[in-house]
Amino acid sequence: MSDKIKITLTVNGTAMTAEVEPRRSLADMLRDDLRLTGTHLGCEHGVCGACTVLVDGKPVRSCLMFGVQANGASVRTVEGLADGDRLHPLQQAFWENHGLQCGFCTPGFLMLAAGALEENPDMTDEEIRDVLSSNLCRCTGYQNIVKAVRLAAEVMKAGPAPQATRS
Amino acid sequence: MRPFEYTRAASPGEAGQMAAAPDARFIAGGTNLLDLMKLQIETPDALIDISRLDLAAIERTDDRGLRIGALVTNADLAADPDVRRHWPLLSRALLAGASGQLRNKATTGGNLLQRTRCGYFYEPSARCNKRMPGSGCDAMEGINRMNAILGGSSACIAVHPSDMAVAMRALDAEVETLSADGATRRIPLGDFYRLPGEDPSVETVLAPGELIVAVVLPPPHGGWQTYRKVRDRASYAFALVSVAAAVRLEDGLMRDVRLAFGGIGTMPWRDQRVELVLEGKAPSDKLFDEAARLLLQEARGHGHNDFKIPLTRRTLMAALRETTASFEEETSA
Amino acid sequence: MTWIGRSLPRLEDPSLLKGHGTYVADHADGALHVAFARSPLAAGEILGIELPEIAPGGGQVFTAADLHGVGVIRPVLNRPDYRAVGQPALAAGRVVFPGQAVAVAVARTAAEAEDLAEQVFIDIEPQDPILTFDAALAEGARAVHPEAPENVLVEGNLKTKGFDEAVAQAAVVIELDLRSRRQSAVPMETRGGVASYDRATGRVTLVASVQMPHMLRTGLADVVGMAESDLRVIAPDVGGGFGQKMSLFPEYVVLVWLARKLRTKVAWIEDRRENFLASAHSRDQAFFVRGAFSAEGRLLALDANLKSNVGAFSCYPVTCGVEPLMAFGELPGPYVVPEYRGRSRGVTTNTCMMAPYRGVARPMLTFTMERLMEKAAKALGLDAVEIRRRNLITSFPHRSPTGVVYDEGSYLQAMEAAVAHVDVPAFRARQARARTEGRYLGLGVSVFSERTGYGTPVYAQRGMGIVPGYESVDLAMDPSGNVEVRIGSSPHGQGLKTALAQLVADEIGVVPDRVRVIAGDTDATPYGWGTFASRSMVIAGGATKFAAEAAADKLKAIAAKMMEVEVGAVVLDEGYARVPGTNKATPIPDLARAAHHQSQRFGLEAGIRTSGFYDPGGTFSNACHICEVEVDIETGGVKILRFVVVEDAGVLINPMIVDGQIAGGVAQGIGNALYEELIYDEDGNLLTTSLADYLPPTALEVPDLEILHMETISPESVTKAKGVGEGGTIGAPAAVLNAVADALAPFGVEIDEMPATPQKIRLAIRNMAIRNTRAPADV
Repeated sequence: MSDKIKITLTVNGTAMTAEVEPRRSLADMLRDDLRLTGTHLGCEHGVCGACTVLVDGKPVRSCLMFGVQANGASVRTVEGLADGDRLHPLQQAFWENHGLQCGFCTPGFLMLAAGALEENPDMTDEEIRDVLSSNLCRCTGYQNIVKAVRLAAEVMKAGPAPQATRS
Repeated sequence: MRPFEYTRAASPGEAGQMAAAPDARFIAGGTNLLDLMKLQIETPDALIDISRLDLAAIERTDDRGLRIGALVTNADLAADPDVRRHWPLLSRALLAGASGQLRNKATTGGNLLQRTRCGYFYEPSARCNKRMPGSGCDAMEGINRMNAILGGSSACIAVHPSDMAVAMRALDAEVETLSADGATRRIPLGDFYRLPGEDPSVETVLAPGELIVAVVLPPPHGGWQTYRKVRDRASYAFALVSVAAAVRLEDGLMRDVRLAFGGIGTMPWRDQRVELVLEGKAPSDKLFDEAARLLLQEARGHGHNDFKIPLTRRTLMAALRETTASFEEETSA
Repeated sequence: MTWIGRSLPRLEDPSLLKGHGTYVADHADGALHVAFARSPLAAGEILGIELPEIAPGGGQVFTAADLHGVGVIRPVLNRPDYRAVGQPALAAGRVVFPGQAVAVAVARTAAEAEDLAEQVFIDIEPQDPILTFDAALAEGARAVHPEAPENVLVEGNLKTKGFDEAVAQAAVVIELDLRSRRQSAVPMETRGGVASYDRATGRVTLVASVQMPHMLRTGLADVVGMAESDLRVIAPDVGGGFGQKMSLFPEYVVLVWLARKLRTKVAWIEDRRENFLASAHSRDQAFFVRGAFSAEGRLLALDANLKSNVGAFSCYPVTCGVEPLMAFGELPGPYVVPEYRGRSRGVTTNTCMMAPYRGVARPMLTFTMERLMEKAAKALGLDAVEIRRRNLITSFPHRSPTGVVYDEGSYLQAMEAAVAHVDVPAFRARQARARTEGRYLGLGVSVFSERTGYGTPVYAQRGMGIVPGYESVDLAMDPSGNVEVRIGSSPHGQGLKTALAQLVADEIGVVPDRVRVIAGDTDATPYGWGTFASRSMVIAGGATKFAAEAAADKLKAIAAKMMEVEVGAVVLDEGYARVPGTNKATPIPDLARAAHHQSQRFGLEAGIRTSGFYDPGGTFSNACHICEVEVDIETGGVKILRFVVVEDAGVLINPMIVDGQIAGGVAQGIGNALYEELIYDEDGNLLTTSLADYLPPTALEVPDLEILHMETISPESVTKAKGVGEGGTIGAPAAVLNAVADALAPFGVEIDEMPATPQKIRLAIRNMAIRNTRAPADV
């Protein structure tokens, strides 16, 4: 058995340390060591995208990266999207437009879209579909996810005006 | 996954020395290696993490070529304005591969070293000379729909899966490496891969501990370029057949024709005889057909993949029509 | 105000969106981890199992020999033709499919358990595997199980009296030989379970990603040999099921046994490869069908020889009869079939067990009937829509030759609405223009029925030893006026909790936010059957409505006493009991508090606790799908340009949720039609064990749908809602494949198989071109 390695990283803006076996994936480290279970594992082979998180601002598959490789990196997960009880515009749009059913793939889609919109806030519909085709959803048929991302992009572009809240 | 030692290398030289040990591997993006380790197809004792080395620059060379650091991600390379403008074929091939998240992690060097997607390579209870040398090849008589029609041996007909490498092959790329002993060399991509022969587990000419530090492209081709990929699903599926084509037209004649193929060969495939058939001639379907026939003269189907032979012919013809037609439109406009 | 009919955003969503959903893997804290050693071969005798040397504290490995007192999973079908086959928790003596669990390893971490399982060496004397129905039914074929010497586990046969005469009168007999390849439901979350032993009570709690928690508890208790009350089963947030998570699987038996044996907590989270290998497969069917038509295009008789490859075992509780017997019983679909001869066999092979998957048999039988209509129209020179007009059921109730009774539906009207919406003449003009440019467009129609919300009568008819169907609901209002609804159904992504809250809100006059629906916990909910077969909205909904009506009656009685009016004068609305025409009003929470704390005033049982029970005969939803495609004849690739759905599911409780079910169902149907195929090679290796090899559609393959609704009210549903969970998947393959066939009409290509992958389409074009010797284009 190889020894555990101590690493430090920033997760959702908070500095954290973890001691992990080298063979632990970033996804397992987030879930099991840091107790952030919002990141889900759908295939563990890098295809389905349920485990998508942002590493240094870019969407990556956390199942295809070792935790130790995140030493010194900044990681964002679905738990970091909402501001307390105020949902992120993407979460709000997924809610209002029925962009989720079982919810298992949802954190991956949210983080994929969050990363993509931060890089390009002006995606066309085709670009949105193309980006979202990286992840698999078995429930929704995608159209409400595409719609939610499009509408969230508009809200985000309109700036930091207070979000509509829903009780 | 088997346990292993993990070390982050401080410099390329140190990385090479550490990786010279038996059963050590470099890891950068890890998108293929990590998956294979989970399946215990790869079982390294040590991983040398090179992902933080300073090898992520894209820079112009003195002769107007491009030097791409081995750690440049597929996403960054595809989005690079210089690449998009002058080597559009490469950008297109990259975007045709994998998915956004994988392209954000996968690196230029790692992409060249991707391993095959052959179902028998992945199926632990099957015989596979690539996974377990000497065990045999179940693909030969099995479901070999995704397998190679060119470059196979009696030991292996697994396809090289990279889209990027196909484009690189068409663009005459060279691989720049650093050996464990500190020596550097440049290997033309055409000499980089090995045909499966007797031992398909050895896929490249790299020595133990030899690190890819960059891929160098010669000056831009300047002609019309395309990357055509036929696959079963539009997103994240490996090529059944792909064609990288670059052609310049001068006075109605084809010049500097470059053709490389994915999905059909045991390595990213290029056959310069085919290019010579077209060189200096006016484009026509008859000529394209002649080129396709030459390309496929030695092609061999194994049952389930027989369809790739006519599909390659049609895809090549379509790619040639596209590259030559768009040029005409451009000049007549 | 009414809540029914509003697209209320789902009450389930905020926690899921914030990453606070708790799926089974999120319950594994502190557990030992379990990994299974599985058979690498499809068939053979187990000569021996070599276990690894394990250092103290390094974990444990168990085999069938250790499972003292544990029985086999043996679901019962009371039919003379049924051969019951027992499925052991761990293979004993022989293996019968690749991936069958043979040994189980337990260790501190998942990685260590996997390492141990990897070191188990299973010595197997291989047998030639029997993988297809042709191999299984061949003369002298080896028996997969000694209990079924002819490899047929179930067989239905029927011939109506006038069949021969009807065929003799036919102007034309159309033959079809259709194939549906093996597919997987592919829920995004794989299977998994966490079993924990409570030292204080001796009980075991199994948290598992399942659709039928109560049924699972019964089955597990029977097989493990324990009192049912000593077991609690919880279905937490479940990441999709689509039928794959209905059955009792051996892995769950092993988990419960281990928790009791080791008196600890054990967790097994399946990986994707295991899910493809060893969960449940579906759709592996071949239908040979002849349709006898009159010269006017009326279907006179249907002759069907149906084969289903049900795999190595019979799924519990619904049995391997589910595919073959539904195919047999419901083949006529929405069409009038006066005479019928049918034979349907469930054939056992050395492949993964087949179990229900969204649609069950109907994607294939709809594909069959819709191809039949298309081919008959062509043979008789009729328009393909016109021939359907002449054959669709238009008078109700309708009784099919197999005895199925159809309640009120709108088969013809839905088709007419869809055809009008699409504007077929405009499409034909577009299609003709495109063909002159070498582009091939096609339009495909699919009309179908979806039998939903059926209770015990239907299941009893199938001869099932365990007859599911009813639902019970317990409702209580607490003193603060909040409502708790405990249901036996077990939703997992359908949004049922929101829809039921809307129903209750309308009955009791509170806002849906105040209605909490509790599901998926055998300790906290009444015995019920779970969520499958498009049943929950109809049946759990009906039971909920009854419970809510009873609660409303009691609230009104209390309100009448408190406001000193007649009961009949009270209405419950917007949080108040009111007396219309007066200014009398009492807040509902005041009624709740009085019911609990001033009960002596009312002469009624204290509190507000009611229950509802519903066991309906079933109701048919119906729909028409129309799909427009473009086929790239160079590559055989199909692009879906447009997809129209006209759906009749009665009253829509929450239209947004209904549309979501349709859209998700259609996406799966598109995958089934064009991309998804599980492939075994001749040695029985499954070659499609990752999502890079088995290809569900992505956002690039699924278009935005145009969905229109019709509303036919059936007396068979008390909520007036019909089920809608499976229709999208049932109808879409036929629409897509008819469209592909239409696009390729100039080549004379027949589409007789799903999925119609690019390679198969290319091959069909090529073969036809060779046969015709002259190609309409470069092939």
